[in-house]
Amino acid sequence: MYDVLEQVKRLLEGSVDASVILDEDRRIVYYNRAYEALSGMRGRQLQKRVREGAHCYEIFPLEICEHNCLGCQATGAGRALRVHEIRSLRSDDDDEALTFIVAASPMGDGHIIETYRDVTADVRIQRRLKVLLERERRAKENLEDEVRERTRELQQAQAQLVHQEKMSGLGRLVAGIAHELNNPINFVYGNVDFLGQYMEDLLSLVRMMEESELGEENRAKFEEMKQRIEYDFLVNDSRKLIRSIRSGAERTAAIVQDLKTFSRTAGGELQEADVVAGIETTLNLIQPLLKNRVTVERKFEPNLPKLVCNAGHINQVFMNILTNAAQAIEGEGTISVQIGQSEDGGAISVAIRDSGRGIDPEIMEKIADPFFTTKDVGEGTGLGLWISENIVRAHGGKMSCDSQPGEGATFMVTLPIRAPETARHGLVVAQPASRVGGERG
Amino acid sequence: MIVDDEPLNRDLLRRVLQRDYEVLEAEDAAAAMAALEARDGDLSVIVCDQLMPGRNGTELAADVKKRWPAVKFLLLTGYDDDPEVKRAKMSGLVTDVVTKPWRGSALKRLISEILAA
Repeated sequence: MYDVLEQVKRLLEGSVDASVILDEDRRIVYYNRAYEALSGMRGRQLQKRVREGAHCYEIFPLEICEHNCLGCQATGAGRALRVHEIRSLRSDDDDEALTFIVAASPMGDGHIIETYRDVTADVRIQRRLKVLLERERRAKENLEDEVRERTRELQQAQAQLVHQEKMSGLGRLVAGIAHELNNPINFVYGNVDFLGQYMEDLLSLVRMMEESELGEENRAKFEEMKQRIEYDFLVNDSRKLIRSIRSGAERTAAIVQDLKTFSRTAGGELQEADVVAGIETTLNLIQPLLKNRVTVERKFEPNLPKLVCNAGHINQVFMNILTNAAQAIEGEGTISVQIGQSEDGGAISVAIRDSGRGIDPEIMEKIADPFFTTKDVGEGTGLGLWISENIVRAHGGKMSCDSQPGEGATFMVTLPIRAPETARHGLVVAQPASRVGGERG
Repeated sequence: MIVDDEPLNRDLLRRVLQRDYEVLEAEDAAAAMAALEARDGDLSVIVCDQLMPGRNGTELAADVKKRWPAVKFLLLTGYDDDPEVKRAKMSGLVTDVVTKPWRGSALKRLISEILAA
């Protein structure tokens, strides 16, 4: 046994790990050079302490010495044990504490070999590396956020441009068509009064002949002619014809007027506008979408004040919402439009409810995103609600939506009686916090 | 005098007026000025379209006003919010403005009112 101990000592002597051999009481019986260096004592001083029977924990205390002595555990277990990241207790300062991998092996004769490998530098490097990696990860995350934010801004700007271009093009086209239609309608509209007048004059002539002395032969010819041309029918039907021409011309003139009102967005002037009239105009324009299919219920509070607003833009908002409502209804259904004044009289609210298919909760948050659409390619640009929301926001108003799938949707637009100057230009880029979809209640 | 480049519109305007008034026609501003010159401005009212090739309605109104300020001027237009038309009405350059499309009977009434004033 003695020889074994001597052999072990010889093995440990040159080891780079600090090593000791302890007796059963954990007194040091041997230490190598690396341990001497670690102890921080001069050679003789350490020799003296060891000769006097110093315990390992007195020379070089570790955080496990007091309650968790690894040597004791290894002896108890009868096998070698190893623990990582054990700190020395020589310094109070965390940064200065040394870190070790400690191993303990019972020799069988009551002796214990303990080795301490200093991994302080490794641990420090690891820790530093961790900090650096974390910093890099955060920087990357920030960069990604930044890119996302910039992308969103770009997308918004692009949507705005596309829309402005589209609307100004559309506005010019509509204004052009309206004006080109003016003259031909004027021929009909202006002339029909004269046609009616001329016919009545001719009828007076016929009446005069009826009352005149014609002689028997002429009277018979006259009556025969009247019968052949179905005179009584002609008179009645001509009057009807003229009435229907006039009403057709009037209706066409009203559509032209609507188109002119609708395209009047270029000036961006704030003007007094009647919300009810705006809604009625819009309903007239989307009549082809509603015809024989959708019933429109109107609940308008009486004596509503006029709005000072960008009338063309506000018309666009109602146009977008009403078009969506009409398109959401498959087959027959109802659109209910409710207009009322806020209690303090400072705002007007328009609630447009449809009996359509409703909006899925998953897409609710996206409905006002630029270019988001559930319609087929070519049917919708995905800009309608985004534009509407921007216009309402520019007017200092609010737009919200409430919907359950299968139970229709309600869009609520609240506008202050007097819009701020921002309404002039119309588009204020939306902040995600107050998106339409986010306000459903 | 009726001034309009569209023959069908001139026919219609003639229809409005010919039973009660003596009517002249001109197809543009230049022809209108020539006709006025020939009569030395002896004319009660000009009924004129705003959009025409050559000088437009308000420009003709200004030319007429300079030479013959007593001639009344009724402007017909498709664009009721045309700033040039608005200015002409505000400044009194034109006597009145009628937006297209108009009804024959209403226009006839308006012209008789203008001539009576």
